Amino acid sequence: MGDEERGPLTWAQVRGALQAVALERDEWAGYPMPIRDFPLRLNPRQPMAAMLQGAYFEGEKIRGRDEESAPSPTVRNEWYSHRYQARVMIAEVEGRLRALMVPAVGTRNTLTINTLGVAASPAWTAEAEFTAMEKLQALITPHAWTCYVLTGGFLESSDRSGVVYFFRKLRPTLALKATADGSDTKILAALCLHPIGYYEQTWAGVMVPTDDVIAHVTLMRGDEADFWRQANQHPAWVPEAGI
Amino acid sequence: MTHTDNGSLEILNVGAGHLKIEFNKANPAEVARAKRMVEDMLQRGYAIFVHAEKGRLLPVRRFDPKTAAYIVEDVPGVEEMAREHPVRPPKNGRRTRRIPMATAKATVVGRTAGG
Repeated sequence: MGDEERGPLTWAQVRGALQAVALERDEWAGYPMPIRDFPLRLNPRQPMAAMLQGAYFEGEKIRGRDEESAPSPTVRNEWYSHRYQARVMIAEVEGRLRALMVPAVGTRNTLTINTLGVAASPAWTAEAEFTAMEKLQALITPHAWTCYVLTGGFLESSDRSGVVYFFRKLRPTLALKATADGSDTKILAALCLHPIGYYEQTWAGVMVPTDDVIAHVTLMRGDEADFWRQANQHPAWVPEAGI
Repeated sequence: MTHTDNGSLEILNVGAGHLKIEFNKANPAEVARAKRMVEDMLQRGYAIFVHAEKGRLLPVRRFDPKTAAYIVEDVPGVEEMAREHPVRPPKNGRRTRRIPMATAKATVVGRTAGG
């Protein structure tokens, strides 16, 4: 077939080519798929990080974070204001210190909509999600599986620590513990972690949503301390906790 | 232990959900490929967990290519394993066991990034 008869590449072909190259290079977990608008954020020790860190599509061109010219402000201090329901930052902007406020509700909505944006992109396929769901079903109890199918989440307690984990699709896992008098539970942290990497400003990992859940369950059961060490531990009240 | 006639590795994968690699212990070529994969994955920072009974997952700390055995951290209370595989003396305060790769089912997770 001549070049003029070939149509433009489809996303499925791009995904297939990336995975073929990854397997050829013995990258068993595969290469993440750059998409429009949401830059990739990878573990810096990943071999592909040098090539794909911050990568995203702008039209048909692939861009990286390093190409962006506007320098980000240097944050000197940062805290959460319950009064304003916002993150307050003291940052150096153009040589002067300024106070910035990032409202929590706006950020939460942004994360929710952006995560939907990743689902609408070619990052994942329904087939891969169904494959991951089959594996998850084999890992958890039938009751937990029913909860997951119906709500996108399930509970599992750790024999070692007594912590109850609320595993959730496309949200950080909540670590819960009973209060001292046993009358209530408190959220210790929202644990955010993705195998290989994730898309910035979203709750979406580069793997399909249920693969992220499998990774959380596997790490919690296999090495709970390491799960906490590797995860980003968000307090319950910040938007990134997804509550 | 979750023993099978054949060993298997299920690797969480970006494009496919997961890759499933099964190898027949009677087939030296398949076992050699799996050994190479396991060694390579441990070097690249992948986390490998061997499935045990009651849904337990045992983290693989090292791999012995000579005997094709996973060296996993011991988990107290795994009685069935205790009968099948002798406990090694504690090293650095941790007990380890050797699990033959050819009959174990393992799940593999790539390097992670906190979100």
